[in-house]
Amino acid sequence: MQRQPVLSVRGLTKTFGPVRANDAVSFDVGAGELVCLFGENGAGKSTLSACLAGLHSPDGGEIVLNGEPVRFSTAADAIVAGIALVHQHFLLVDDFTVLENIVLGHERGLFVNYRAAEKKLRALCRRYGISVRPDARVGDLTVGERQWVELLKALYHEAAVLILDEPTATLDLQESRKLFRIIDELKTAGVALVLISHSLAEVMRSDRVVVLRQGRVVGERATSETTPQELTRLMIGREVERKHRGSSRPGRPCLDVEHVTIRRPGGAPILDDISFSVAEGEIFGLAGVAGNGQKPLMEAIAGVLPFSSGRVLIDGELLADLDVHGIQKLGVGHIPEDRLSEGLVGDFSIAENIALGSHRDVFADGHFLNRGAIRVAAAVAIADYQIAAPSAETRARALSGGNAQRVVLARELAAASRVLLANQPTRGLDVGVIEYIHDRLIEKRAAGCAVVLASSELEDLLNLSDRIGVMFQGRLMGIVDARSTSIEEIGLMMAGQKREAA
Amino acid sequence: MKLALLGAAALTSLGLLGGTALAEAPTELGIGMILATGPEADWDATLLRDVETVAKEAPHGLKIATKHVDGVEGEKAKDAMELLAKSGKYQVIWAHSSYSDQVKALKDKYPDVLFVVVGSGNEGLGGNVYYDYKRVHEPSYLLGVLAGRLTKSDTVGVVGQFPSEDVNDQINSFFAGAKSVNPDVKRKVAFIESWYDPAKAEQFTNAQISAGADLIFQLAGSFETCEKANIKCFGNYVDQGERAPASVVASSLISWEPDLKWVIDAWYDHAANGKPYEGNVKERWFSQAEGGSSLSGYHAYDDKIPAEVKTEVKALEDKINSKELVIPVDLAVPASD
Amino acid sequence: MIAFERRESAGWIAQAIAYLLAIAAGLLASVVLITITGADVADGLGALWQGAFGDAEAIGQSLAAAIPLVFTGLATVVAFRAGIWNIGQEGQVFAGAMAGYWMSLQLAGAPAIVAVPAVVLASVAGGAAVAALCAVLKTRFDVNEIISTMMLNYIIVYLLSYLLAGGPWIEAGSTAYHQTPLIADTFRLPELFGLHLGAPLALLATAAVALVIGRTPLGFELRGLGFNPVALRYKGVRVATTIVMAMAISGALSALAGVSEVFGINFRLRAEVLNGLGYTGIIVGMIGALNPWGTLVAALAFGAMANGALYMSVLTDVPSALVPAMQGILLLFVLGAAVLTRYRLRFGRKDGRHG
Repeated sequence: MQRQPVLSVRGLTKTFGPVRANDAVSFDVGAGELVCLFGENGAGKSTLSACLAGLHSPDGGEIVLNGEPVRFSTAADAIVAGIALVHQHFLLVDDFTVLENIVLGHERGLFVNYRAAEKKLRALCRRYGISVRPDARVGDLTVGERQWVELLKALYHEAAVLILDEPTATLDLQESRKLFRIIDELKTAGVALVLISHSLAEVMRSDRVVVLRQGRVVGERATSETTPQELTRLMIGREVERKHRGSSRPGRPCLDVEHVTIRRPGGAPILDDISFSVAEGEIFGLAGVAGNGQKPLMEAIAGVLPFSSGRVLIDGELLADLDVHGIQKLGVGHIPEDRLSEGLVGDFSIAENIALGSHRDVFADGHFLNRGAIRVAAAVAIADYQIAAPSAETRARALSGGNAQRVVLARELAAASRVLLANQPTRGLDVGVIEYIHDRLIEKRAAGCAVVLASSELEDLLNLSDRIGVMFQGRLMGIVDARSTSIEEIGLMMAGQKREAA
Repeated sequence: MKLALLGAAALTSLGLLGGTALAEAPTELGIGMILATGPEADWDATLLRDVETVAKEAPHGLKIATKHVDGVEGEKAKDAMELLAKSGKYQVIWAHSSYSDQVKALKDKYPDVLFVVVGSGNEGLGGNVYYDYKRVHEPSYLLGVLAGRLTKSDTVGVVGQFPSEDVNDQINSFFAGAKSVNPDVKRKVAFIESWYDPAKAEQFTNAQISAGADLIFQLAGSFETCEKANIKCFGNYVDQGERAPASVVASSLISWEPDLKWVIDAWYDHAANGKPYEGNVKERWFSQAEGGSSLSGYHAYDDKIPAEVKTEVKALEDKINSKELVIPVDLAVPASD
Repeated sequence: MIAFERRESAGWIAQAIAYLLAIAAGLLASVVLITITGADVADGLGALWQGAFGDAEAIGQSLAAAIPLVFTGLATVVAFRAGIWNIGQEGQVFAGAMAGYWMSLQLAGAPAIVAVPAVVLASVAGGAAVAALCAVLKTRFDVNEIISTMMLNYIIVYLLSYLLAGGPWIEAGSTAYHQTPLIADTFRLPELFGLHLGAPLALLATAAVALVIGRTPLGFELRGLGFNPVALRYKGVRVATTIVMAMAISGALSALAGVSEVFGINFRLRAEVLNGLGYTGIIVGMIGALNPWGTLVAALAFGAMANGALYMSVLTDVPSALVPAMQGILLLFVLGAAVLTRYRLRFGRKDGRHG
């Protein structure tokens, strides 16, 4: 890197309250270079890209563009300076056309020369082989097409630095290839590119990799001089304490998931042909970077999310035609990912939250609620699950995170006589509560329940699970035995490497 | 006139003294008025104006006190009337809209109170209930004559509220007047289907202007629209030329003075002479000759209207008043040509 | 920065004191107004009291004015508690009255024992259907219910206007007006203790709404829907069905207001006697803190205030234009108290934490 870098980040720091999302991050990108930012969810990649694109203002450090320090107060400033971000969560106006979205915020003077803009846009589409109609309403486009609009927006403004935040997450394989062809063309044209990805296949196509962990740069490697294994180690960055808990004696198969697929028009499938089976008395762990299909998979099994094809069976009984309530009555408990928005009604009391879902059968008496039964159930739950609250009438929103999760646990473990689906059950909780929840999950396994546990804590998965399935972009990359696998093996699969290839 | 009335009052009381020698001639009268809207509506404002005039004239030497209750309908109107009657201060209760359902429930409970129901949607109950009506078809006819003479496009329009019968009679007479002097006149009629909706009134007015109308009888009150389009128009009920001199040529006016005096006389006969109430079953309206309606002045248009037209209209007005010319009441729903 | 923060609960005594203070403040402001116009304050307030609760007759009139507001208030409670912003009470009142009137035409000559229940049922069905239509538009086509219910208000009110302005329902006769002929005796709601059937129905409706919301699975879902529809969906509640149910109940309640006004008091269908009942019901429900019994109290207070205002405008020299102004002032203070008992004002920076 003898030439002056186009973009140079020097000691960039960004904090949100007590959290240091970026801690003295430094790296360079040269013209025609593709640098990859690699790291787990929450490592600080997206915050970093938002700072570069003017969406956040950093608390410390500087951004140097072509040798000049720059400060952006808005995203428009960044675009004018020549930094464009292709955002992971689309920042598009649904009711505007593609063309309007692209010129939005960059009109000069009072009038927009739409004719000239459209001509330029059509030329771009031809040059890069992107087929999006400029006059299509963005709200009518598929997710995949929207991703192209985001990219076109950046290309239209002829950015010198292009940041791509997980651009392939919504694209199917063919379109991902097209994207990388475009990236190659842009490199040839001398654009400095930053790619945020946790897909190793994509990471390995970059020129250099900057590995982030907990907001810090923990390593920088020329891609040609490193291996996926080394990068995974850097990303995870710690030795896992292995203390596998209890030996399970799995019984006969209880939960069967067969070829479950959720398609999405014009984009990569949300779930792509998922098949696995969980036995009685088994904990099946689901590993994967957040957003790779764990949540839709859990919801598909629980009946919350309809799926396009495939089937789910419990004890050999097909779940087709059953709704959430019917599935629950078969003995399925579901601890959703977000306890406050999905698991609980914040303005309901503890007692009402305990009754929710069974209020038409267990807790109903003819046409009325059986308030006596609800009171008793709530009292039992508060005692059994050590919920710290003044009374069963306390509103759920007044509870601490741990106590709120205990309410969800009390309700769902009671429902889960056959299958328990636990999605991130310990997220954001303190150690004591985490221990408590783990104990409860193991109890459930001992009682013969088939448990599916998704967690972003690899350590927990390794210690609690009997087998672990690893998800990547809606696919199940492989299933491994928790006792014999290694964190590297799982890490590689999480980054999109098939087990056979590893 | 005042003297004459006083004299008449004196005579009747004298006559009474000669007879039964009981009731003293009353000196005070309270008139309570029940209004569906209030002073903001022309229908109600004209009543409030005229009751003050009549009170000042003091018929039969009466000291007249007035009270109005605004914006009451249905049960609330009944409660208000009953309060007025019970207070003992109001001997005449003037219900200025369709209130005969409510009056029917009260009339026998307060037999000495004279009730008046006014306008459409009422029934004649007789006894102590008088049924007053308002017809403006005579001055509407005169407005029509003006329109027939002044139109250059031979197209005149009307923007009305609803095709209800007390609107229809005005429109039909207006067109009859126009046709009588200009048989080529084409009629344009539109109803905004609301008693008050300036936006729709403007829209319909503009539609008529596009259809060629250069004179519009504005029952819906959209005078500014005429002004903007440089079109002349006519108003009704009150002298709209005072409010919109630039566009309004003339208006058909209503007056409640003869109506009020009719009722006051009936009450006085009852109170002073013990004459039983004889409320009318069929609606009673006062003609132009009797002062129930009239044609306004021309205001800003006084110099712009050809003298011969003014003379013609004046002559027709006199003919109507002398009953030489009778304008029929035509309630059919009017239609455009 | 000033932020509103929800209170856990202000307690009954605190709430009562807040409302009393609000009424006192509203009256004080009214006294100032009356004094400015030169009218007699004691006269004015005396008439207000006389009309509100002065004697048996005044109380009867206050109650009669309150009956339709109980229904539209309860309609607001049911919809708003479910988080559905139904502001179509006005149109649903009209729809109920119109459906009831239509039924009375179909059953001309039927004995009262058939006629009255048929009219009430038809009207309830009419109001429920109109409201449910908006619910289906919301659940199927994602049409915002504020817009659809508001628009439907206009459509229904204009439909009646058409039916009565030269349309098929207008009374015959040369001086016909915007009203139907008188409704036959057999269709009129029977009277009990000087009040029509609407009064016991209103009480019954209040108890029923309280029971449904507080004690039944449906009410449980309604309340949950108002707080967090996502969590309900995760627990298998059929959210779309619940929305339709809530709206249908709300529309049915509004329709009862239309029935009681047309078949209980006026015995003619005309727009003027229905105008504003729906919109006032929204305010009544809000002041009643979206609680059925609170709404009953608020409706009674509204009825008393309306009748007191009428007495004041008839019996005193207080200018008639001032009476609605005073009503508005009182309302504003009471609404202020209602907000303050449920939220506390916080000055300074907004804290990220809840609860």
